[in-house]
Amino acid sequence: MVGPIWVLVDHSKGQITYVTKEMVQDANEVARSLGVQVWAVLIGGDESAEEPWDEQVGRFGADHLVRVSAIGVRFLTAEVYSIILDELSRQYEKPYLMIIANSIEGQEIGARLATRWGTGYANDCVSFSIGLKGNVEATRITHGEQLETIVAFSKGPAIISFRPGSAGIGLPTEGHRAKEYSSQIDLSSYLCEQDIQGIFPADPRKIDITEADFIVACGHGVGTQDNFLILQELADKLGAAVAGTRRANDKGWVNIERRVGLTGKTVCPQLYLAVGISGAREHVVGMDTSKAIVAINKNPRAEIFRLAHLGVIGDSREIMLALLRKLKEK
Amino acid sequence: MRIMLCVKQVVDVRTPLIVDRRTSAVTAPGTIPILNRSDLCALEVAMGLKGRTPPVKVTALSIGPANVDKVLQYCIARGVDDAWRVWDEGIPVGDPYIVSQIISQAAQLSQCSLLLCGMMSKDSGSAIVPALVAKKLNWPWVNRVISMKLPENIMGITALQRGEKANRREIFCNLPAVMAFYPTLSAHQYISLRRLRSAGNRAIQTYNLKQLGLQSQELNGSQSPVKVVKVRQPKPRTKRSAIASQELSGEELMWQMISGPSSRKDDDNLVRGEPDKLAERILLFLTEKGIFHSTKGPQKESNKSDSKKK
Repeated sequence: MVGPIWVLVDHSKGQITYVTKEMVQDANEVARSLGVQVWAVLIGGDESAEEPWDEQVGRFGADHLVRVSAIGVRFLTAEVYSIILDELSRQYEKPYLMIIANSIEGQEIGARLATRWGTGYANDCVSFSIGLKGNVEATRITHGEQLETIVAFSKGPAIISFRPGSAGIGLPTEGHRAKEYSSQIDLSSYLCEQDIQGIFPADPRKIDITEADFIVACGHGVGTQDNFLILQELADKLGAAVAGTRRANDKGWVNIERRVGLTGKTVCPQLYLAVGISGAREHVVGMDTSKAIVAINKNPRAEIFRLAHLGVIGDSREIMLALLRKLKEK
Repeated sequence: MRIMLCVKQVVDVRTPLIVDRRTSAVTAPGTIPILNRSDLCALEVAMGLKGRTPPVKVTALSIGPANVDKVLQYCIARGVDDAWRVWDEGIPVGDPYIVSQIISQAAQLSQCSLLLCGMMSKDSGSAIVPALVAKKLNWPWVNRVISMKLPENIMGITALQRGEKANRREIFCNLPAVMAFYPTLSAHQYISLRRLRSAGNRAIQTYNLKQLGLQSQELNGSQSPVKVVKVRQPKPRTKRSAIASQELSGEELMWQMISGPSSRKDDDNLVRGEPDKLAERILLFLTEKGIFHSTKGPQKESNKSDSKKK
């Protein structure tokens, strides 16, 4: 008899993230083969959601949703997450498989939880299944993404962190809702190892573009170095990181670590402001999963407008200067 | 104060790798094994702590056969005080549970009060060793450390941690502690060839399991519950995709096939006009998306939303 499958819900601004949908759908497939149910665990999520949480996770295959509110803690750190999950495993049936998004925080949650439960943890998995002996098998990406390692758990519960974008999302089941439970966990009696003294924003000029939430990208269409400096100023005003195409890199405006595309990095920011970028396929593959894309280009037939959620046709220099003026006014 | 620095020698994953089908061992023929990048960051931070009062003594530790001496010599050349290598025939260096047991035993033997290491290795990337070491030693553990400060009284340590969406957290934790470092971009300092050569002449202390107070049977009993079945070149995986909408025309479906997941947007999304009007429209869009807020600074606001994420 095996236990249920738990999925730790990763969410942002009242919505479950892409990786959560992937995890829940994958968990649902495995759960059906095992004859068990999928439990989605939502920690936090107090912000107003456009769609009810039970519907959001239910559409992708979760049978149950446990909404957890933690009291007695200032910050929801990985340590706090692992304590909450450990507490939940005492209140509900302990899972057979625990799936966590492979985010920077998720890796730590997985490792901390594994030490709490005295079990194994597989980091950065792209798929998982049930082996012939009934044990969990997972495929991990290792050796700088050059190789993949298949691992098998000899002891449960198995904990895996799931790499975003590795499974894709299928058609959701409309109208399916997960059965919702609420749980309140008082952590005031727990002595946390870490005392968080402050959270500081990163400097957009220094961060890795793959981490940035807002990117202003420049292309060949920006034209001159002077125009690039205007773009840099605009990015500073908006609190965005600067990235560029291969041609912008060739011109020396951005360095190679800030190049986006086939020969550069793949980014997925909340907003991608493309200035003077035509939208060549080589560049687009590195940014087409951005949540929102704004494109400024003088050519109305530019390919980038096919992707853009807002396409602005006009001279990029003039528009950037106007934007700067508006930002200074506000 | 004594610091133990754990370093790992890894294959250079930027070069083509070969997998032994029988043993699953991974090699990079014709290349020199290198020091794991996040361990290198830990080394640099440890060197930054040297020279302060009370004096800090740094010991580098690595597990493996004699060829591991290369990375330990690099650490000596960079300035660590001494280097330890642990090896016994048959130690499964790929097993994070056994490695963590050896590290925790060595940390106890050295009587260090701070253990520094990388958050994960570039090769196997199990990302669990620091957690297991901290558990065995019953010490607090801070992951994804970028830098740290040691206060005058040395009762605890303040670490700067990398958070989600690149934000930074300042964390205080009591000593003794385990600090696992995040691999940052600019890490290592240049070491002259002369220093590297003179480090080659320095003796490296070698320990076996018995000297550490460990038994082979004891180690075998604490093997990882996650077993490696196979290491192979990645195989193509199928991804799910939502069925194309029936409402789309043939041309639109064709565009979807050409341009991947994106599709042609309505002309409503395209705007023309005076630059000021267009700038206003962009700002409105940014406001709608929660990126820009006219009353507060956009940078502060975007980060505020990040901290709310979880």
